[in-house]
Amino acid sequence: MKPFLSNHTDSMYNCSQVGCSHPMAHTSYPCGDPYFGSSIVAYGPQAINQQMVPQMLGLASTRIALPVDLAEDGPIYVNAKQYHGILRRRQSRAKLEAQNKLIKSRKPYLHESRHRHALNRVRGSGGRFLSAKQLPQSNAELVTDAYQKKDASEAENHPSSTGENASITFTAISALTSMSSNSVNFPNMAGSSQCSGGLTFGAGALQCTSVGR
Amino acid sequence: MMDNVGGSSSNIAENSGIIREQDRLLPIANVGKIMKQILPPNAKISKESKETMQECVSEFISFVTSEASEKCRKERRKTVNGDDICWALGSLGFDDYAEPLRRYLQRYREQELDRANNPPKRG
Repeated sequence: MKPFLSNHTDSMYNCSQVGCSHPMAHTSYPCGDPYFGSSIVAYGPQAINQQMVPQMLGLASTRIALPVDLAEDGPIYVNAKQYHGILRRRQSRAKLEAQNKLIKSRKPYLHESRHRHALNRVRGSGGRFLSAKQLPQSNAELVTDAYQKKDASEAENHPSSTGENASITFTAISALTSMSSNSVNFPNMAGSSQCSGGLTFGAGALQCTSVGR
Repeated sequence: MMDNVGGSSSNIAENSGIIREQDRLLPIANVGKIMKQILPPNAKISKESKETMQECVSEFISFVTSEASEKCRKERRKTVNGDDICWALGSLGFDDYAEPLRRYLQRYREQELDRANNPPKRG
């Protein structure tokens, strides 16, 4: 996690700096391969001399190599202005990691109560949640849904450990998916707010399914 | 084993000062909405993209705030204000962003002044 984040952050800042600069400054910040760092350093002074114009005097165009011990694939060159900031942030992240204060893995959902509520909602074709307007149109399906909900509630009465909870979650989602498959005649929702709500919960469900696979 | 440790940490997050996901990162729905503003209406954004952008923007906020906080520490001030953030952006080489942010900060302060001079009437 940490090496990936560090590299990604460095790359992001470099790209951001290059992207938002005007063409002349773009030349001052070449994004070369790390293995050609020495070459870039060699060309640096000449490049500066070639484009030494009055409006460029204030711009800092040197690049400093970060310590190699933190980069496993050679030195990473960054904007000189950001050098100390990057080192400071690395120390902060390392300290948090040492204190084990950073959560390593993401949870599929943040709030247990909201997750349970989403599991009990009725889904239509494609897995989208049904709105209150569309529920009366399916009285026969509602009976089946109530039966499904009863099963889900019974399953949720035995959450003992994290693994067990995960199993229950997958089982419930599988049941809901089967229900969705059976309900092929439901009309698709067209309202933007409904789609937004559906997307929010649907994303969570999809993530659970992906984890299962 | 790693997952179990993570689970245990999550379970006792409130007690041992663990930095929770919702405290360390911006809300993923808000990040998705901001990303959507710049895209055509029928574009879709994967969950992985939103999570990656979540990490990037949260780290960028910490990066700029850390620079501003360092300046406040040297000047023995305790409050980081908007001017410090604008200065930090310039100090880190984000000059193209510092100037629009100064203008935004100026208009924001003007609005605050108007609000103070014309308080909403109580019914």
